[in-house]
Amino acid sequence: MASTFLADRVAEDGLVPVYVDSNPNFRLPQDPDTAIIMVGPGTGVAPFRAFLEERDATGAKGKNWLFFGDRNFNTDFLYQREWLEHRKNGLLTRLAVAFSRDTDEKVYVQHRLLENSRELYGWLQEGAYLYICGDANRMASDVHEALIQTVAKESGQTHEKAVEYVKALQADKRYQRDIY
Amino acid sequence: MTGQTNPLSEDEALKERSRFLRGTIVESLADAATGAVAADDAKLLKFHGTYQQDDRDLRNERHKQKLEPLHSFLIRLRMTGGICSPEQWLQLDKLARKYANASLRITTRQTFQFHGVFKRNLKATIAGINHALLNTIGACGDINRNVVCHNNPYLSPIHEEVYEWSKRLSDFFLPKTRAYYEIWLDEQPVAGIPPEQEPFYGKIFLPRKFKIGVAVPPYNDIDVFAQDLGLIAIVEKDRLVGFNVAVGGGMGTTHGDKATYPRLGEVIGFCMPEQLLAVAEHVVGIQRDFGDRSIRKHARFKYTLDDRGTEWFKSELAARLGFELAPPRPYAFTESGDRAGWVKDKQGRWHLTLCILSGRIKDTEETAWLTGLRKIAKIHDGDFRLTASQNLIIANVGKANKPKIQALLKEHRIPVPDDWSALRLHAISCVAFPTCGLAMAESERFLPGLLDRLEPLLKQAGLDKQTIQLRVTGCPNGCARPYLVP
Repeated sequence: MASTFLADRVAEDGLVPVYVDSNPNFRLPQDPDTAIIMVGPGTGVAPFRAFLEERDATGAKGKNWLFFGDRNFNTDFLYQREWLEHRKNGLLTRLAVAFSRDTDEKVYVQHRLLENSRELYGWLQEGAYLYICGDANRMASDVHEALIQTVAKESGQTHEKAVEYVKALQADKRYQRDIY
Repeated sequence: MTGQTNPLSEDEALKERSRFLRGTIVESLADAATGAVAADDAKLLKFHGTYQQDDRDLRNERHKQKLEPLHSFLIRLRMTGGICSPEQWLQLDKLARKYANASLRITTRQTFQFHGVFKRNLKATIAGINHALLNTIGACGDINRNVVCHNNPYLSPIHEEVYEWSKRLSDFFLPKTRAYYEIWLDEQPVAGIPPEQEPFYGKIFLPRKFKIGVAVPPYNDIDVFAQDLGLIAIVEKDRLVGFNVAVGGGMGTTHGDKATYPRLGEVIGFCMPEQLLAVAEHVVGIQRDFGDRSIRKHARFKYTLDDRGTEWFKSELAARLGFELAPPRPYAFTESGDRAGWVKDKQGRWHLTLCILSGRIKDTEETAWLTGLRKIAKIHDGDFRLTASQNLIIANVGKANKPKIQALLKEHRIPVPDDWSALRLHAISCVAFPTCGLAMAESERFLPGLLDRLEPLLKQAGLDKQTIQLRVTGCPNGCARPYLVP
């Protein structure tokens, strides 16, 4: 994901110091039966490979729903075969994708959240955890807003109440973000 | 009535449970996470005129990238006798540029194919074809395919009459299920009516594809003996008096399977025009009832005929018709292929047969085929006719339009066939790599280079005006009809 950055700044044979920036606030739920909703467009999808592999390895029974997005379906569907395989095996319960440059109108992950608002709210009501990973500039706030809209619409409550609902999710550590 | 004793093949079971070709096609199209459809739906889609394929050049590369194969769809039209209007041409050209790989391909069954349509655009493309008053129903699948017929208006005064009969045959064998209209054209399923019926085909349609073609002697441009049901128009005193009936042609073989073989149709009798539909109905009906539904590779009509014998077939046909076919009338085929170039008919209209290598109409570095023909379609006052040799007739050109068309051809460097060697004029290839799933070798992509190498050799040997038929095919299924070279 940093190839362009490096190509611009690092000379041939140059040395690049790399470290892992650990995020203790981005972890699978303790309870293996808890459902999770993962929103990871672009390279933001990376941690969710590990999430699913861990849930597979530990035999966690909780449902898993991934929202992925990128520019073009044909070329930018990162780890497509893995997701399809997980879906086929039943590990990945649902897979929603949005490709912004394939259609006249641009579609992003937040649109897919809104389209699936009823099921999404249903999962949250059942105690699902929600994770967002990826772009901090636009995506994270767009998805955040879509989440509030989803809650408002499906619970029939005011925008303010929906904001409180989402805040409570955050306080309960059921809404975690790793954005950059 | 049926002679079936062995268990039905999986393909038959699939048709049976498909709810008249619906399957889960709608769900498959809606699944945005894959460019493919479910395996069962891929089979059912053939009946809707489309095949799932993938770019075989990219398979390995994409596998390494953890991407699925680059799936796309071939869409084949039903276009009886290969005739379309300039308006239809323009709509197809538009769809080809918007949704396909910016090319139209003329098939050896006088119709168009689009290649490289992604799943997300499949519905819009098929709907667009229907908006041009054309369709793709039964263009592939176990059903009667596009009916081919002699369509050269210059050569035969009865071509229009023959075309009308071909159209009637085509319409007669259209499926009645509304599945196509619901899936592609948003027709709402009608509630409360009796369950759907497929009065001719039944739930499981035919055991395999079925091909009908109509030839007008002395021209065998449509390869009448390659058809399951070949009809040879008999003209006496400038009047169409009927058709000789040839049955059991078929080119396909399976590599390494000696039980499969190409077979020529055999002439079994003659019928009058008013008997034609009944004859066709019962010929196809016998294949429907007696064709092999347990071994797919043995399911074509030719095997039914050889297994039971032609005499059995003739008596079964007579029993169903209630009369015996008359003895075949004399006829002679002396010509095959197309006559290229400009010709003027008795009414003073002009017709131009253009040779198009492998039937592929696209803009290349040398020739702006697609653009040139689009501009011609915009001013053309006649129609377009596709030939079974994958060539194109710009037909019924008015006197005033001829110079304009000539100028457009020149402007887009579209070669006038007079400059071509006889070898190039008659060369045919199938599609093969990269899209055809059956291909074992190159074909369409190999042909131009092969011609470039052969032409100087033939010229050296003084054979450049000799008609030598070159047919290139990427597998033994014989889409380029290599087994029929006269």
